[in-house]
Amino acid sequence: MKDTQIIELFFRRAGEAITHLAEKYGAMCQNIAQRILRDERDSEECVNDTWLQTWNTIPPQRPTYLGGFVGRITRNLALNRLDYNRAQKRDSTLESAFEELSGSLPDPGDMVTDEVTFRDFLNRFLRRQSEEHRRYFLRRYWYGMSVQEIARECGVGEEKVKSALFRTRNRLRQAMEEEGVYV
Amino acid sequence: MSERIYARFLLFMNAVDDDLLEEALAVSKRKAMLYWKALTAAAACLCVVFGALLWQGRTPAPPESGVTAADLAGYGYTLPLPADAMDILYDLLPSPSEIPIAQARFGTGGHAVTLRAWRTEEPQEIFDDETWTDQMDWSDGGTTLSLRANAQTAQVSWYADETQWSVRSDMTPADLLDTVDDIFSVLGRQLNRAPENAQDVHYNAFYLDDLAVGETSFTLDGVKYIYRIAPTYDTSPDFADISGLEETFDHQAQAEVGWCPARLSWNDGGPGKVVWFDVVPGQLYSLSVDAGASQESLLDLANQLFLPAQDEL
Repeated sequence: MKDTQIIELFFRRAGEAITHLAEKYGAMCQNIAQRILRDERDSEECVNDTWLQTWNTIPPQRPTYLGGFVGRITRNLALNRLDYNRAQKRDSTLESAFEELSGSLPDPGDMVTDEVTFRDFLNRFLRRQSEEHRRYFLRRYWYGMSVQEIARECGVGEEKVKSALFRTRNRLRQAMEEEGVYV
Repeated sequence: MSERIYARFLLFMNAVDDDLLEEALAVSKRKAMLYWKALTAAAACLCVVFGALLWQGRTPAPPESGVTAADLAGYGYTLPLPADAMDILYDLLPSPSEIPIAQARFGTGGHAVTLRAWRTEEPQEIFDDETWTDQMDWSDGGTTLSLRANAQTAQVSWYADETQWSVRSDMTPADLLDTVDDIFSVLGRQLNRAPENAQDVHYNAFYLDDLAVGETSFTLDGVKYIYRIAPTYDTSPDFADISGLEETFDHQAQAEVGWCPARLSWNDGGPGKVVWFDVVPGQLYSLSVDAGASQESLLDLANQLFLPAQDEL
């Protein structure tokens, strides 16, 4: 079923909206949650909460790309859950991927940039990158995908993805140093 | 992961704009290109060549969108913008298929216009739904168009050459149809039926007595003309008059435009009209003039304008 038809069902408050949403995007959301949480049961709960939150959000919202919309909800729910899980000393794939990025960033020392300034900086930086490099970067460090997965899904070689990630990390470090942004 | 790095992790996770995260999950451009090339390699080549010609002199997209006309060309898209389009902003939007929707936002005549195109095997709705108060579907120039409007917004859509097109704006429906007419010209198609040397050309569409009428108004040698076309299922010899002129004229005559029966009414040197009916496709026509009418001048121009629609069936 097309996104517009599913959204129309939500607007009509038809229960089958969730059935069709789960059929189309269930696997994707499960995948996002699993990468962050590394726990099937936690991931399933996140995905179920995603359907509920979507039901409560549409209407009034009418997302342009339904997949991205529910994926973002799942991701946020999983990150909240991750906070709780950290107390249980559980690790996640996404955290591991992020350590790779974090290791190449400049040491903040005592200077720490505030959240608003950093957000502005980071989005400006990302928008300056080519769409291709931005896609690899976000898939790796925001969605926790492996290099192999990115290469397969984007139809390119692994070396190309690795090289793009390496260059983007270097450019990020350089931009942070130039603008005096430290986190 | 240390607490410090975890804090940094959360900061990064919450810092990225939603549209970038959505873009990252959307279909890969390269993957879509491969898919597209595999399906229609020859068509893509033609599009790129044609696109290069059309884009000569076109202002590139402002940097905020991050998408340029060249990015759209990567998907085989050429968005036909009116010559006076300003502040052009291109974008690629996710779609349910591997081929994204191409979008151009631009200004024209003090109004904002959004043009979208999507290569798809069947007609699709490519804008969010709205509550429309006026709806109309009609065919012209071999293309079926739909017009939707309410007090704030008008939208015109059509499907041609395996591409769904849709234009939305805060213009009046009549002004938007003029913009669509410009877009058709850039596409190499024809919506208005004005002669080449006509001036002040406008295209409009509306219902008249339950008939969907496509109207071209234009000025020729200082005289204003209105040319209308409407499909009908009624094949009776006493065919309908779609000119909208109800007044009584001094002269009336029967004649033919092409092979079609025609009725003429006119005042010498004043207003006049000719209406005719092509029974094979079932199309009604009218040509009216506000001054300088004569039987010869009306028939002469009607014969020039009449393009038989049989080829469009």
